[in-house]
Amino acid sequence: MTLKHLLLFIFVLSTSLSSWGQQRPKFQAARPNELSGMVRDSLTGEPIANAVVRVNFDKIGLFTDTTGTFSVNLIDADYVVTVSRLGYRPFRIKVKMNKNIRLDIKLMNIAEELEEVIISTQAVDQNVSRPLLGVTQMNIKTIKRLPAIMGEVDVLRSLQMLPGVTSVGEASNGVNIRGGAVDQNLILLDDAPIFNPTHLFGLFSVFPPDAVSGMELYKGTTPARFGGRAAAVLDVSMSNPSLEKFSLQGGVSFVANRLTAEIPLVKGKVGLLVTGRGAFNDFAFQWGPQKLKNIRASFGDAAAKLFWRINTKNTFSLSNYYSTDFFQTDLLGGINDINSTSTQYNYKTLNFTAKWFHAISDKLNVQTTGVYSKYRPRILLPELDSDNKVSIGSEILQRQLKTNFNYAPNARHKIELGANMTHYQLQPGTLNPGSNQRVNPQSIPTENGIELALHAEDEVTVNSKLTVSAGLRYSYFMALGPSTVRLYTPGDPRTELTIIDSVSYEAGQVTKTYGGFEPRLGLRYNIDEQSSIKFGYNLMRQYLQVVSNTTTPLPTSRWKMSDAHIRPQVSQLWSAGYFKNLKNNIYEFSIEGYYRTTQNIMDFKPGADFLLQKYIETQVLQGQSRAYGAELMVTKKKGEITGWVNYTYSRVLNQVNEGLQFTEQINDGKWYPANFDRPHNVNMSFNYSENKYHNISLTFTYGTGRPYTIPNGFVSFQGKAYPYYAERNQGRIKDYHRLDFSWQINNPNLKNNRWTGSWIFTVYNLYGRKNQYSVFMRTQGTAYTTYQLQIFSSPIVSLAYSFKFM
Amino acid sequence: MNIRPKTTFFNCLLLTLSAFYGCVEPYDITYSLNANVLSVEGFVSDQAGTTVSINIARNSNNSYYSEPLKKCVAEIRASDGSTIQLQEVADGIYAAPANFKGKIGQTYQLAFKTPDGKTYESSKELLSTSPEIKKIYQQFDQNGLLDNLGKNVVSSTVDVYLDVDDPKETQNYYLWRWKLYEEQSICITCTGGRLVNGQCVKINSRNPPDYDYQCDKQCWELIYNSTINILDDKFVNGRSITGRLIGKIPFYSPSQGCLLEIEQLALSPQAYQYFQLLSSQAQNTGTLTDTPPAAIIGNIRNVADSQDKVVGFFGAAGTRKVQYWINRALYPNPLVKTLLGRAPNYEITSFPPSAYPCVLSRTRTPIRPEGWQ
Repeated sequence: MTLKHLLLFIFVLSTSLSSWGQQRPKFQAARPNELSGMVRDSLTGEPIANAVVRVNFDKIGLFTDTTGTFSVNLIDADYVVTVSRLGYRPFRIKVKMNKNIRLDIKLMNIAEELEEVIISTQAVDQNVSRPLLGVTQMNIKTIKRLPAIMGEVDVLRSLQMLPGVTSVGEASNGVNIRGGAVDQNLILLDDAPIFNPTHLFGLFSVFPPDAVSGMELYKGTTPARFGGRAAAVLDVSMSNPSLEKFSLQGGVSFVANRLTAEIPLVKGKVGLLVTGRGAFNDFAFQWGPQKLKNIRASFGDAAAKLFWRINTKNTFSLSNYYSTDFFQTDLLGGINDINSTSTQYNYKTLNFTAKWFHAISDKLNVQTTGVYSKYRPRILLPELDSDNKVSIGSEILQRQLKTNFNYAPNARHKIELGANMTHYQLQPGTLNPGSNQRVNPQSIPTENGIELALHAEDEVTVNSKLTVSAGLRYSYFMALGPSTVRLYTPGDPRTELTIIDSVSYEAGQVTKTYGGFEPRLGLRYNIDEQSSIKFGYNLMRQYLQVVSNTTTPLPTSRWKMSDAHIRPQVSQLWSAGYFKNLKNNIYEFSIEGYYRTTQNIMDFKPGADFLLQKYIETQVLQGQSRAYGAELMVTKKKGEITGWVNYTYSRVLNQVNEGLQFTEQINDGKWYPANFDRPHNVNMSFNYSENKYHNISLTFTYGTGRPYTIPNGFVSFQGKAYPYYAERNQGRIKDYHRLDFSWQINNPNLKNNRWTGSWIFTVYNLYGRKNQYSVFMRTQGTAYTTYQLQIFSSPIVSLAYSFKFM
Repeated sequence: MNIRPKTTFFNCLLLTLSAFYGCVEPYDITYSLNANVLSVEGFVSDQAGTTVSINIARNSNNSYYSEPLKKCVAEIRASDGSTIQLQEVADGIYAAPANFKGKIGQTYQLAFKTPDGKTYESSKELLSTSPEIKKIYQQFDQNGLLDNLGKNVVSSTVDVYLDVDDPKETQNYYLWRWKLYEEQSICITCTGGRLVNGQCVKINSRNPPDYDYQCDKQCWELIYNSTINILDDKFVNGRSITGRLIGKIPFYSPSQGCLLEIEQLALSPQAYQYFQLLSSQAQNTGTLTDTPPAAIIGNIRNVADSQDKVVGFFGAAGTRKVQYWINRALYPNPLVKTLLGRAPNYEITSFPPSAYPCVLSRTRTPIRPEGWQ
């Protein structure tokens, strides 16, 4: 297909809005020929009456009669004929009139089609029938159709098109789900936790797009098998490799290149999926402006999955994931106390998951999973005139073993029982000076902890109207030695000055325990076949959290286990919703409301410093958070145009008040909006696919600007002005909105080869909205200036190529 | 499709990856400032000249000013039981007797009572010794000072570094500050006017000139460091701290030398944390790594009301003071930025030309500094 054809296609699209007047056919012409036809239902073969037949997109069309036939006289020319009828997928054809033509047209009934927008995959009316609330499924097909920045298909950015999911802005290292902080989401890729979900400080998400089969987001009722985080679960699964057929797919974009292969090793038995993606184009910076010359940025991720169908009752899979990032700049702040020429960030993830599925009988199966996950961020500080780099690193190692029994004794019960043991090993910080003689090596003691959990859940179909999903999880956390636990004067702030004693613990000794029940409840009541109401309640405990004093946690942010001083976060969520499917499940409507409280959220003291800090309890405060909101969503799942529109109203407020002193409070102990409190959000996504060759997507997103702290005054010291902030987060940056466009051309040569290619043309931020990422001030002498930082302030055009070889 | 792949490729890449820095612009926003807070600062040191300044920072609408808080009754309490009464030597400036020097190992606490009867106290601060400065040296940087946007070179600089040996036994927190003496020849500029009988008088003209007048005797401009330079020895304990940049001194003159007075203060951990907070509040970059804003509240409390907020810090710090002469004549062809920032424009109509006295202030002195060459 040439460029001319492509442009023509766009032009044709736009004609439904503008006129085509000049080329309108002349009906009164001298030697007309007859165009006639019959329109029928593709499945039943019944004639369709009152279908509209339009010639060259004329506003006035003809109707088919009761026998489904139509006829019109046209002079010799080329014409585009469209036939449409409500509930059917429109039909288009190009005809050359130089004789009488008769068309036999079959229209496809939309209600019979598979869904295009997949928010639920297992049943057409799952929205209505599943007892869980706030569960969203998105399949990779939907994700791949959304316009992606630089053409890089992005799971996390797609997620932000859903109600209740927001972030602090373009460069956000994670998402906020229903008022939860970034680290309160349990992000799993094939059961292994992902501690840092983005590449390049939030620009791209880490999930390899060609290996992901779909994702489930639990933002309401979370099944009892999940635990360890307070807000939500994002369960991303990797595809199983095909056991029958070799295939290859890949792509090239401005940012990264990727390749995925599915290889059947033993036909019908063993298959292997291998995927890799790399972005190493940063050499371009040396031709950029002066201040960017020193920037280097690259990332890569790779995954492999081995799937072995042992027999009809047993399967085994082993998956592996690796991710790495490198970022160098001399523009971000360095480490004040170490001289260096620039700051380099380097972070790596290495995960393994082994899963054995065993069907004991038709009704009972057991799934046993072992997980190994390691996350290792480092800050490297290269020295002037030397090859040496001082490195400051940390490491999280999580090893987990879990087993799950699924038992379905009859149609009325679905029972799940399981046990879970997780060992955490956290190395909070080491400093390695290398050959630098002027810096001392440092090492913060390793933290160890074990989390044990048992869970049971039963989904009971009480009657045709009522289904209940009742789950209970019990989790128990032990902080283990070796460690030194300080005791501080009770009632006083925890500082170096209030230590009264310290206790040493040997390796393996338990220094502190926490635990408790985590009930999970979901209720569904069918009002009728098309609509239902649901109710949910959830309690979740989190023993591992991020300590960060930046707007969004950095990849190098410090993780902290609960211990004698840091209490685990406990979150409770109540939610209720009404769901309705309309017009043969073509449309879906839902409204959900929620209220959430969280105990022991972590905040930092003014001037806190976490880097290589042995006793983090002297730098942080704990408080509470409450969030509430309402989410409205309408989805059109089938037809030529699919998509959704949603509106969310939500608030998140925090309160930190540990004592009377100023240093023990934030915002005088009063409630204040969290960094990610953005009350109004609107997302719209439209996807137009006339046929399987073209796919056009438009997405629009709007959100209230996030809060930031504005000064209440200025104070001058030594002839220099310093801003004085009395209240936290009382101002807001400008509202955020953005329109994205993508146009996907699949298999442009229209032939059924083994090799099929597709082009994706994307414009991110189509109308060039200059969205603010942050507002900040700098003072110079006694003067002050406010600045805004904008990320992606102009349209970003990109073209990517993907291929498949089957 | 007529895309030039190469250009687009680079542009897109740069756009993406420069995202964090590329698009900083001034933002027009009007604050409604309303804070009126007490601000206190001062240090007791093992050197003479302890002063404490007490001000009220007044903010309204879009402007602010510092109002000296006069007629306070202030004293410094030492851990040996002695009390040092402070005298108000200038508006809002309270000084200890000239012969008072703090003692290493003692704690000191500031206490004062305002005219409206409120009593404030600082925490007790330990005076610890500051290690000796081993070496001070300089380096020439042709392109040392850039303009605000970081695009153009404004002036060459002499960069001053120091070395100090960090003691192993103790945790040390350093603060370095400096005072620069530059010879000043112009003592007043009458903006849009001329000097008549020691007063600037406006000239009635559409474009009145700005006239500069020389000083009536030798005069020195005092310039202070504008950034907070602190160091925690947690990574370098017991090692030699070498090549710590103290200041980048612009070429205010092509060859005339200048005198730099460097002070090295030994801070307490609390004082270090406060200065760390203060510096992070003024040196934001808007990126992910920024420390969010926080109230710059130090160690001074209202005895009766914990909600009454006082900004600033009263500290005790062993202090090393060194005078360092910067010889500018060593470097050929520096880029010069005069103190005035432009060529002087003397009024030549009157003869002899009028001169203006060199008035002693925080930024100017007629007293020849010790060590001036």
